Amino acid sequence: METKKLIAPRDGLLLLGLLLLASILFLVLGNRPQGAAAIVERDGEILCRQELSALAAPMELEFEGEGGHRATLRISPEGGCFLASTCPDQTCVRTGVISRAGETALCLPARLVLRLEGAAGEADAETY
Amino acid sequence: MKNSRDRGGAAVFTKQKVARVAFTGILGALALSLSFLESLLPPLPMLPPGAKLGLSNIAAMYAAGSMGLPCALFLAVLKGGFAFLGRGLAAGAMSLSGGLLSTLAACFLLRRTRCSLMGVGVSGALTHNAAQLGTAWLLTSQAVLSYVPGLILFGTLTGLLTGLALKLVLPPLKKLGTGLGVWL
Repeated sequence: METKKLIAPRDGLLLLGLLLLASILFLVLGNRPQGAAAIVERDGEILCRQELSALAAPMELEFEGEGGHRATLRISPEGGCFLASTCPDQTCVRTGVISRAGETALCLPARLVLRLEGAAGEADAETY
Repeated sequence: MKNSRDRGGAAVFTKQKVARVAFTGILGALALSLSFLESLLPPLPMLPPGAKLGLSNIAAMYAAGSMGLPCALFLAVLKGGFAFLGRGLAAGAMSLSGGLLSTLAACFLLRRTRCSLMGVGVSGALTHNAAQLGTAWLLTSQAVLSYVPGLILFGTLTGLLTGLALKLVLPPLKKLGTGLGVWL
């Protein structure tokens, strides 16, 4: 392994390709509109669906996830986030507020997903 | 191991085995302490949630390149087991799937191709991310795919970093291994 090069000219191609791929994806995903509806799923099954425009004020919801974990979600007219969770890794809470269509916050231990959907009729909303 | 038959009798062979077990244990401890260390770093904003530097990949790549696939796979299973005990089933499944796939990729690239170390680092990081994304998909839903672009970008950066780190730690690790009596 000592004889291996640190970096080879070929790597440049790999890096360029990856950079291009990531920037295309960022451009496609970054331009998406504000989310229109918040959807909460557990194990892929929809627990709750809330149109954001129908909200006058932020609301907080508590969900029971897998493994006895409970999570508190906050859904506001601008988006949503995990406020708190009893899971050990807290990745869901650190994700912060999501606001664009297609964005996702998830709690793996509890198998809970909060995702935002675009307005109905926008074909982009479900494209990843 | 290739040389083990030419170099003498059963006693030498046993000694070599013991040295390999000891060195595998040291690499395992190294992988675990690196992953503990990086868990102390504060999470950075703008990154995909749960994204880490993947420092323990350095130990895994070294094991894959110098000790062979069984030893490297053992490290992945050990790390997955610790994640399972410490942080639960979901974390264990994420760690194990990522560790196994990136170990297989690193082993193939290091032993069968002339891929550079940074190339191995980037491939290791991206296969790790891909396997974890697949696991997260299975555990939840397709919604996790929204993290793909961030993971590609961040995985490439951390892969370059771990590839560089691997180059830097090769001499001291080799010295440690030969000091223990492992024929590297």
